[in-house]
Amino acid sequence: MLVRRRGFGERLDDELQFHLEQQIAENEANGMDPDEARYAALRAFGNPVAWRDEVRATWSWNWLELCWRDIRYGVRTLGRTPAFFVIAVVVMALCIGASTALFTVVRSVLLTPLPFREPDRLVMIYERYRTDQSPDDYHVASPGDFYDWREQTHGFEDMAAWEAWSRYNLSGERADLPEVVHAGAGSANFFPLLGVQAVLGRTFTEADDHWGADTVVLTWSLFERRFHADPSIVGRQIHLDARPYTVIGVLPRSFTYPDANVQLWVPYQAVTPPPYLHHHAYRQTRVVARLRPDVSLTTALSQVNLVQEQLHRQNADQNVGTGVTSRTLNDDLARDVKKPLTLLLGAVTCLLLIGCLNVANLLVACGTARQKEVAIRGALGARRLALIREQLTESLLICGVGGATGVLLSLAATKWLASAWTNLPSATAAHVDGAVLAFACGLVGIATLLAGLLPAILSTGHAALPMLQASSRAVGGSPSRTAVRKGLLTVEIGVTVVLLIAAGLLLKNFLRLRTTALGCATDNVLTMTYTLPTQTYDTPEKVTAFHERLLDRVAAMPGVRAVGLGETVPGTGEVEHDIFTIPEHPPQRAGDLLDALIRRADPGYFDALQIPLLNGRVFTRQDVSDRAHPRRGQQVIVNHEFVRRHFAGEEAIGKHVAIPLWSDAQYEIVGVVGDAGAAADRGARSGTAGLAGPDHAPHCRRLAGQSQLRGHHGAGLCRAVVGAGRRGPVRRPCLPDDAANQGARYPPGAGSAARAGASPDAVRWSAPGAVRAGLGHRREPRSHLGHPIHALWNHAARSDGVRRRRHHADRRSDTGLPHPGLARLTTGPPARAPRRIARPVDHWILSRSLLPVLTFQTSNSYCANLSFVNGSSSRMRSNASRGSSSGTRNKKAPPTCGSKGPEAISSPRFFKSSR
Amino acid sequence: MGKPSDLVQGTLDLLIMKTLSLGPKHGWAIAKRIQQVSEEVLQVQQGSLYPALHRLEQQGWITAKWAESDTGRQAKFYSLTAAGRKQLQTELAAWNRLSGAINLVVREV
Repeated sequence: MLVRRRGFGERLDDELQFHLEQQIAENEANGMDPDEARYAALRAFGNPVAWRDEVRATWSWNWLELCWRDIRYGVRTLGRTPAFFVIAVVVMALCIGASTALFTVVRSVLLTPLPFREPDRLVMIYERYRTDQSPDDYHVASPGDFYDWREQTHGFEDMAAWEAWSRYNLSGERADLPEVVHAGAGSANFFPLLGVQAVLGRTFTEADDHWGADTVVLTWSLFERRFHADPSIVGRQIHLDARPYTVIGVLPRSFTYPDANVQLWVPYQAVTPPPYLHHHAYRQTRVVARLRPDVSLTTALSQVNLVQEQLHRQNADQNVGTGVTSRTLNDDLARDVKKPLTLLLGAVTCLLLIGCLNVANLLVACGTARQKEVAIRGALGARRLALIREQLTESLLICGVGGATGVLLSLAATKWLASAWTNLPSATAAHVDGAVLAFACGLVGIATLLAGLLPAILSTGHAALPMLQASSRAVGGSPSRTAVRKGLLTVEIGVTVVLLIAAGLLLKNFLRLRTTALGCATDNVLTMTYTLPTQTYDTPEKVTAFHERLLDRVAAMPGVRAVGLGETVPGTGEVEHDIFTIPEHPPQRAGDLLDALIRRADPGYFDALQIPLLNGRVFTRQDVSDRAHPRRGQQVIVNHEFVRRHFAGEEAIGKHVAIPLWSDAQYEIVGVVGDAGAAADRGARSGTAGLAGPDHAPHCRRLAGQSQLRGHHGAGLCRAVVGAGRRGPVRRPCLPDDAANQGARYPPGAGSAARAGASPDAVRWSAPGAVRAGLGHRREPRSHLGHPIHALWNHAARSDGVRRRRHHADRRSDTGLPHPGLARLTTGPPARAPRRIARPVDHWILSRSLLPVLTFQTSNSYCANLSFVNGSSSRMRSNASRGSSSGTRNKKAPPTCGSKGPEAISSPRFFKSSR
Repeated sequence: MGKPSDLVQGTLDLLIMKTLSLGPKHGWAIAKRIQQVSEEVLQVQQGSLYPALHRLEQQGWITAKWAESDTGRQAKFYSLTAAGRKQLQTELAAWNRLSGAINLVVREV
């Protein structure tokens, strides 16, 4: 019955015709004349069209035929008003696209259970303090606490420890370039606890889990990308930080915990030095626990709490949490994004509602214009349900086409969200699948009903005659219809106002954040991060010498007003905080510890960031060099808040602080400076005050480089850093990577460090040469080339042979020409030539496109954060316009990338934007 | 409009199947036959007849075949299937029980 429908219809007509003919024949036989017989028969027969419809209604698949008819009719109707159709489709595409994209992300981030065994019984356990006010206070545990919890409580099936802080320099084997990989460190029971098994080889055993362990487990992405999914890698050795490690296993593809950045795993104790293993204040461990099926979380947690309270009492002089708290693994991963995601989801729901109301309103308006048509059709016998169905089909067509377009839009939007929102956990796993399509279909259905039902009901069901009369007079809508349209508009405006208010509040927050006085200079401040290789800079003297050389070079650059080195910039929140005591004060009550954020800075730091000196002095170079000799003077500078809290009403200068976790030494307070970035830092941890020690290279911590750059100043900065290294202790051009690579001949400029991309398919690499190249390139082309460059770069990194790039880089180096951009060299289309670029929008684009590519770090090296202040803004401009001349000068500078410069260097960034 | 208001709902199917149990007929002949046998009391309108015929055909109780009628024109002839015969027996039994019961009540009063 489904096919050859037309044939069946013709047969039916034939059958009815036969009946009519029989009737006519009978009438004629009864003595009527032919015409009369025919009319009589027709009268008796009634309406053949109606009979035909009644018969067809008994056929199977009739509904499909009706749908098809409605759709054809709807297409014809909408085709008559193309402008309306396009507008409605665009509105729906935007609304459904936004909703679908967000649902895709929310689903992968918040809803999809982690690919572990019984994930709902897994919790993360954190330490907490009794004084914590905010429910968001989760403090990582110390190794000592973890081992005590694990031994002394029984509410959990097991507990495992992990941390994901390590970075390793992964040496290139054969022709590969070395790269920096992020590593996780998990205890032996970590993978069994999660229920994750290696797809190749095995995971760690207790025998692997010790200090100095040399076993490593690869994630699938590293295995596939770096080792070409070659199973024979298991059992072979790879070099991390020039040390051989044996690959014992490969994790499944689904394992991207805690995020895709972590590329390999080493045993937990391999990164935790033995002295710290039972320390209770060395807190960097995350604890994941599996609940026993027969024990409630509260019971299990209260046991751990008891142990922790005891630990706190036993270690009253240390910074040990007073209790514990927990949250589920999913919540733990989504910690920072749950609220914004929910907010966004609410916003797109409002948007969808507005879109539906808009389309409904348009349909009501269209209905007014079509009153007469509907009235005629009703008069001809169309039932009301059929008319409503037809109009709903029209809105289904609009929403369907809009939904299909929307799904396509959402594909792009999801990709963008996942790449732009970098701290979104498991966003790389966000993809459109059946569930998302089903969600989109559901949205289309809801939107169809929302937008179509009311107008359809409204435009039908009127008595035909008044409608015909009314529409023949061609007046605007009836009063009832106008009221409905007004109602729709009211609801729409209401929802819009809600959205606007929410957006306004967000904007106000943002503005307040922008205008918060940080207490230091943010305009025309560029910052950058670099690291020095440990093999080369193996003594504090060499590091100090490098820093001094660097500071001199940067200070000599035109337009530079001040320059300083520090561990980080103010306002970055919690980097390191420690407990301290003040020897001049009576001892604190037990359990009442003083705690402060600690940063390291060099003599120029405060001047460069224009942090005012309120009392005393800042560090001198003598202080810094004295730090290399532990027995000589030790100085600190404190901020105003610190003085207010701890030295109220007394002189702080000349007093001392002791930091037990560091050493037994006492540090003399030599200066008091203004509170810089206090608002943001306090937000990180309430009730802390800053404390700055003089910069001392070996104490520097590794910093991730996030970067932005501006004009030739950025280029100059990088060049200065590289150049300072060039005249450094090592003159022989060799790979700054490690000894393992000495056999392999890397041409100069081919680079030392690379960065494993966040997603396995976007592998990026870079090198000092590349940085210079990128910057040289950046100096020239127009700013809006940022995105094409990014694309080219990625393309080059992925598809082109490494050798080819090296070859070009090599050749350029040999000829003494600067690298005008590796991407350009390898992939062809030359970038258009250039003038200058120094507008905020430029570095906005750059910071999102080119520069993430240029960002890399190296482990086991010294690093410092360089801050310097430009001159006034007018000077800045004049320098920018002089860009071409200084660019020319720079071009003639000999290539320096082959020399041993800093191992990793991030491009300079504007401090202001880094907040 | 030809609604068999004078026919108890569902009896049209019974009448059609009963008529067809004597042999294949086309729609016109079925209507005529019912009219004649009921002595002009039951007038089956085409608005009821053809939907009923097509419904019975969909249910598989009757089957149709195009053949030449006595006037030499092609017509659609319906005939009862085996399932239809069975159904006819069931419906006849139900009808007898129902009409007997109604008769009993009507005579009593």
